[in-house]
Amino acid sequence: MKILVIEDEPEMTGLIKQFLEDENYKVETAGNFKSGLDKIVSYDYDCILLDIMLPGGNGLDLLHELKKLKKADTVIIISAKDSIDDKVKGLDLGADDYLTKPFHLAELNARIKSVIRRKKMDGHQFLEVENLKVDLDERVALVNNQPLELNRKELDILVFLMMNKNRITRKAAIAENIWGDYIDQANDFDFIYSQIKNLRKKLRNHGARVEILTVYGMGYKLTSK
Amino acid sequence: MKLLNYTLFWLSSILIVTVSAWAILFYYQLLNEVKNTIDEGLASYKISLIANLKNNPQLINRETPGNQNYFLRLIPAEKALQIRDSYIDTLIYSEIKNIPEPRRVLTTAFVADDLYYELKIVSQELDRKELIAKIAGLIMWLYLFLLVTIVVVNNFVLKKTWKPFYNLLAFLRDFRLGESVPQKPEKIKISEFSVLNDTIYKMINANIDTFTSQKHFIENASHELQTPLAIAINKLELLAGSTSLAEAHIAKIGDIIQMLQRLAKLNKALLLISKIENRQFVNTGKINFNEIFKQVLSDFSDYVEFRNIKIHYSVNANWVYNLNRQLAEILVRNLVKNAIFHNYKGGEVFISLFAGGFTVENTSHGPALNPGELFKRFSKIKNKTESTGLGLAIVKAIANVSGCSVSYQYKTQNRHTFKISS
Repeated sequence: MKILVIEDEPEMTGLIKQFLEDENYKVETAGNFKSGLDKIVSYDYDCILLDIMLPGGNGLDLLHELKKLKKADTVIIISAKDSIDDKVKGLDLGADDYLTKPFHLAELNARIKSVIRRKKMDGHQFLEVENLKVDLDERVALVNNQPLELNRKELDILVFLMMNKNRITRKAAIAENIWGDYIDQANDFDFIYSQIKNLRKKLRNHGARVEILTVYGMGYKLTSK
Repeated sequence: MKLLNYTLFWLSSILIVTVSAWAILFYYQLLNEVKNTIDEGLASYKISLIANLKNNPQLINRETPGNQNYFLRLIPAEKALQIRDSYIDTLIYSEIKNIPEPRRVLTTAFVADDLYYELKIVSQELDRKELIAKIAGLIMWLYLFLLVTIVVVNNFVLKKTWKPFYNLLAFLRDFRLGESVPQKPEKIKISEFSVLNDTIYKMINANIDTFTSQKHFIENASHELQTPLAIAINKLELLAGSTSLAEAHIAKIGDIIQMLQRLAKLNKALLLISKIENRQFVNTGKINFNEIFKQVLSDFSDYVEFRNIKIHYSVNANWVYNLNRQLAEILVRNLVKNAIFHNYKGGEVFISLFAGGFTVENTSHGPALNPGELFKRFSKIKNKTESTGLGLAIVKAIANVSGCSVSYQYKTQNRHTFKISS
């Protein structure tokens, strides 16, 4: 899997690169409009992370160029501009998603996986950790190929944790992923705890060899037992 | 009232007064003129009649004249000498019509064969009523004619004259800051309108400049502030993920991330207020608040369930108001979130939608809030450190730019009510 990060802030580029490489992606970077355009023209990527404000041009123009080339690369716009206009324009131009800075790395990870999955329409996509398997198209969880009864929210949380397995996933990131941006105003994520509690119980009862650890002061982490 | 109709109203009102005054004047003038003519006729008739009578004495002695044109009466000499020619209006009984009719009568005296006679000559009938009716009729027609002329003048001449004004008006009515691009006004012959157009064009451009620079500032501020925050948060996330750290250290990193996130949230809220106050949310439409409430309540349903809060939602009448959709959602979300957040576990929220707005009421252990301070920025309730203190300032800003009013009321039983009304 190859990912291109087009972002003018070197610190930002560096940490996204580090994070994605940990996730076993091949990562290339471009720091301005021109080098971004060169890379887009010359190579194919599975996913492009695109900043809108770039030295030498607007990221949306780059997106326009990409679509003119009829490339199948998926694009996620990452912008500090929390502007609905840009969001709408970006999605109209064919971006697959739009993420506003600051974002959680766990969220970025999940979004990249989702857009790549959506583009690849070849057969069922599974997430697998030990004997736990989630069919993302059918939206069912299986332990040892036996179905695990989960409600919608529990499944969403499980998928999000599995996408970020062995990483600390912050409560705020889970809340925003499952309930949407507005929930960051709720200020109190303890209510996620009750969902996690149910999820843990169900996983344990079905003999899944994964566990959801609590990381004090941060959130949760899904690991193999 | 439209300008054209207004002019028409005043012109026709003034016209009806002037034309009426003119009609009265005209009537008396005409009547006078008619009398003079009749009198002159009577006088010349008198001369020929007297001459005729003198030449034909047998006519004098006839008891009744053959027609009713004149009446003769023998009178004493001294009385006859006192008579001067006089014209009077009088009523004379008409045998034909069986009613008294107004006539002009000339009274004079003459002498024939040393006998003195009084002679009354009666004019042809003078029908004032008919005269008045005729004049009134004509005047009516004149008035109607003038009215039609004014309407025509208004519609063609005035419309043409005021055209640049109406163009300007149409432009201003449709103008939306941040959306419309003003056209350089065309040259107009009428200097007043030309000045008006130029002035408004300049003012609008100044406004657009301010708006644009403010908008850019907000965007840049957003970018410049959010980027380092994003980097700091994400770096800490990576750091926390490295395996070598002790649990206590991870918790500390968690605290720092939370602080930074609060900063980011604060920054976002402040920028949102600036954007609202700069009126950057331009696309307005008819907003169905019932829909918005349903959406927001479903968004918060998990949280509501977790806090075991009972929501009473009642729609007396749906409120439909012209507003930007995003702003409407923020408005409702902030108030509903406050009602849930500043509540106790197992508390209640009452939402009521009516024709001119809505109320959001919640139970709380907190005391009455100060309505003067409540909507100010950073007005916080003690021991709620996680809140930005900007939620209600945002509500107030939205109300201000959209022409709604927002009010707070404290009721007994620890009920806090926020009311939005148009």
